Amino acid sequence: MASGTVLYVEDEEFDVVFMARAFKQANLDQSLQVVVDGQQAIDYLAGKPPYTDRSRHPLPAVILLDLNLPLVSGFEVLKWLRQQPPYEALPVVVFSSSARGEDQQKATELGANAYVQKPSSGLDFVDVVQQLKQQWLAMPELRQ
Amino acid sequence: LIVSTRWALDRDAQGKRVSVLETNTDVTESKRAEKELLHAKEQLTKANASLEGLVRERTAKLQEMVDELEHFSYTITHDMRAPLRAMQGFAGVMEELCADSMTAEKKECLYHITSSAARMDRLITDALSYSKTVSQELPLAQVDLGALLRGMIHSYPDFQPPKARIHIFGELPPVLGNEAGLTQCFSNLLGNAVKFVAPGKTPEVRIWSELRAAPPSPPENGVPKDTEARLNQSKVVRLWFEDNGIGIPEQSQPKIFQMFQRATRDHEGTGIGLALVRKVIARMGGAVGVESQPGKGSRFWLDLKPVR
Repeated sequence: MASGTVLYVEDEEFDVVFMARAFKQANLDQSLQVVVDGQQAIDYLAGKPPYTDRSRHPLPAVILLDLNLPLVSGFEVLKWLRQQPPYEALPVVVFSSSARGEDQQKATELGANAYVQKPSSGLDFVDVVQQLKQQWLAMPELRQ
Repeated sequence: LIVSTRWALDRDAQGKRVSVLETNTDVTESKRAEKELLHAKEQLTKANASLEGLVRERTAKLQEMVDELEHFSYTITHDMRAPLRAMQGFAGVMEELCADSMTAEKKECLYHITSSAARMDRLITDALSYSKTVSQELPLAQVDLGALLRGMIHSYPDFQPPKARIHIFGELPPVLGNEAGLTQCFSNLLGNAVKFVAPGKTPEVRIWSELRAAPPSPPENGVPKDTEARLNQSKVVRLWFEDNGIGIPEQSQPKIFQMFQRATRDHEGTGIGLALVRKVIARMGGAVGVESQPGKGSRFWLDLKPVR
């Protein structure tokens, strides 16, 4: 598994802009892969076209998952993921603007590893990237 | 005409038939009444059935409305905050891009974009937490006010020196309340107390309690109600929060606990915090109020149910 790739599932155009900016600031711009809805996320992970080439679309070390997505919601992606043997243990960080306890609880029940609430400014996505880097991307061999 | 007929046979000592007595009674009226009763019963059954149907239908409609409102607040959380995130973010990017040609005026414009977006974001968050608090269950249990307040002060740096000095005087009695609800109320009251102070002044808050006679309930048809209940439970715990803040003008005081009412334009606030306090305390069977003079601080009070 190519280490270091982050698959960001996000439909908000500007959230993607700020996340890309934050990855660049953290010198991780090679690591970011973006899909814009839940179906694309599933296709990406399943290696369906246009994501068949793993050199261009490597399997992620961690998924950064928005909840409110078109077509297939983040919850449904999470549910699907945990039913796929290769991805049962793939770290998923839910990234949502929802502060609702129910959402957080549901995400945890469905197997999310962490729940990060979106900062109120896109500029603060750098903090989220730092957190990702420290918790999920650094020394993956130690996390077994 | 409906007639009910009865025959009685009369025999002599040897058992020989002697005569027949026939009685005829006009039962038209009672038959009619019987029929009417039957009809009324049928009508009642029908009415009951349609009423039950109506209740089911209305309940389903209400549930649908609740679901819609829930969905609405969900949409607000997700969709309305995204553009604000972008506005704040892009204002920040602009500041970086224009670093070389930045002037005080440009900087001020960017600051206003950022702070307005942040304010809108706070409004949304507060309105959501208000609607959530209003709709959720608040089961009552014994709450140790002193421990709750000390815990809150301990965990928020904004409530500690050097940022603020908060003193609790004497023992605070246990009350019958909802801990999560009270936490929210205390957090809003203390948050206001440390926020609304004159520049350069260190916020100082004094907290104490007193046992008071419960305010009389309004009489019903001129007769005071629940006299006995009031004799048994005639006390309330009044919790005071006194601050050294900017105070509240007298004309604003009646409105301060209403939604979106702010006493001042100088300080940031959404006008939801105190509305939430009033709502939560009312749902615990209590009351709230304030005594204040501009420039001389405010004294907020909460009446809570004592544990008997």
